[in-house]
Amino acid sequence: MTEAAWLPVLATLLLALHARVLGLPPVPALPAEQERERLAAAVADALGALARTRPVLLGVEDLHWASGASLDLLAFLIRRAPPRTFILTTSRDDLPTSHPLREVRRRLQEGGAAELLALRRLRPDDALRVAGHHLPPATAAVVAGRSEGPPLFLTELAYEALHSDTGQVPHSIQETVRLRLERLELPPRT
Amino acid sequence: MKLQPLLLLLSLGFAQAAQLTVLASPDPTQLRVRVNEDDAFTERPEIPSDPLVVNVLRNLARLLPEALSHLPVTCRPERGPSVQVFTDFLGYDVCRFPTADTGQVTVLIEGAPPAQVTPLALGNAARITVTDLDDTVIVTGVVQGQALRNVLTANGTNRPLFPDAPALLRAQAGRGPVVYLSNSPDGLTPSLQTLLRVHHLTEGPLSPMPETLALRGRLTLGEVIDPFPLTESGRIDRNAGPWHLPLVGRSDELRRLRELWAAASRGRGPAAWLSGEAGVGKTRLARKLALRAPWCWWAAPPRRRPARIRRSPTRWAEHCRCSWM
Repeated sequence: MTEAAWLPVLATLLLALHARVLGLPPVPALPAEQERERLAAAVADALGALARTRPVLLGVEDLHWASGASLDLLAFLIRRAPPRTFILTTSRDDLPTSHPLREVRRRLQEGGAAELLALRRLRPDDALRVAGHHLPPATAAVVAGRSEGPPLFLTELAYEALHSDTGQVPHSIQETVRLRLERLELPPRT
Repeated sequence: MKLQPLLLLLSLGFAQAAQLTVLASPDPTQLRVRVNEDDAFTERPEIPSDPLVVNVLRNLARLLPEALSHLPVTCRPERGPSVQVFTDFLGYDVCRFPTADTGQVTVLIEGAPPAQVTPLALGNAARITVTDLDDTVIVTGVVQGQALRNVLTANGTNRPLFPDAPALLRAQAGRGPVVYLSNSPDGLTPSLQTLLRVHHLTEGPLSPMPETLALRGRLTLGEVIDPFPLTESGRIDRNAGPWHLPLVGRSDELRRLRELWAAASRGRGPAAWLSGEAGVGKTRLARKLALRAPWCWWAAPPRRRPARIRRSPTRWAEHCRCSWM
């Protein structure tokens, strides 16, 4: 799709483009499926146009919440990534077997279009290093052990250990929430 | 000529909404903010079932040089006077109406066909907090604006939007001032009703709270508010937040990401797909990738150097979301 072709297509969704690029021709209506394909191609071509002058990193997070149409669009972009375009996505891996993301990911992996990097929980020694960044060794060891490895829990427990009045380490993320609630003062009423 | 990688971070959850930007407000008693994706142009009634595609395209629009900035936009409601605004240099603004009873609003942009949108009313917002606690989207206060509601619904049909909102959000509030979006008592969920009771707030339009007014005085026009680094003292602490803990145990993954990015930058290469359980650090690693790229450039926040390129070691994702080079 030439530049003259993808701009009018994008303008069907980004109406304000008409004000910046005057004289864009109307886009003929197509059946729904063809319309979707034309839009996806226009997005890919827009990325390609951007990448002509500089490499483009397109990050798309939390794909597990994406709609089916969004996944289709992303899969299209990954397969048709223009030169000098890098697409980085993130998603949860504890998805139901019926989740559509699983199939999309499988197809992209098998086709060599995407490389999966599976993140695991931190090893105990790594968790200890993180916790020890702000905490004394004994407390850091407790925090690292109770976190069981996920960095989010680790940082939340470390935060609580640093900021609690007693210096005690919560036993769980739920207890972290409860302790913070107890420290809160009600805001003034207006 | 040195090539400048272009960074664009999208989130198909609602993490984008964690970004609030202070806007100019003629009324000094009001805190006027912009919530990402919650603007009149995000709505596309023609495809009501698929707003995310629209969102992606909308983000791309930010990358078009001088694309949507400083455009005169007229919002003509069915009832009441028309409102004209000019988009900011990122292409945003919000038409504010004195009453929510406007009916359908027609957005008129010079050179573009009229578009029907659902009216938004951020102008009376007293406090807003929108945060993303590890993929669990939490929105406190009164969610106002059909666009925001639609996006949440579209993203959250298979999960609770307000899981134990009062408890979790008050915990979040412990980190600092919480800004609530208010003024629409319609459609409150029981959790939000509980939240209001906990805060001793009545349902209905809220007056700006003292903390809100104080916050408004401390913030700079155009400043991007990140809910996470808000401290208990109420000040925005640039050094707070879990990302300032060291990134440990991810050297192999980070090295591979940099290899893939380098390959793609030279020509073609596969996409990277970071996968893992909640809280395992997917987003952190993605951010780290850009931070460690020696030739990584990104835009400065508007309050510092509008429309100029600046290298900065912090808050790159927020900059990339709201700015373009």
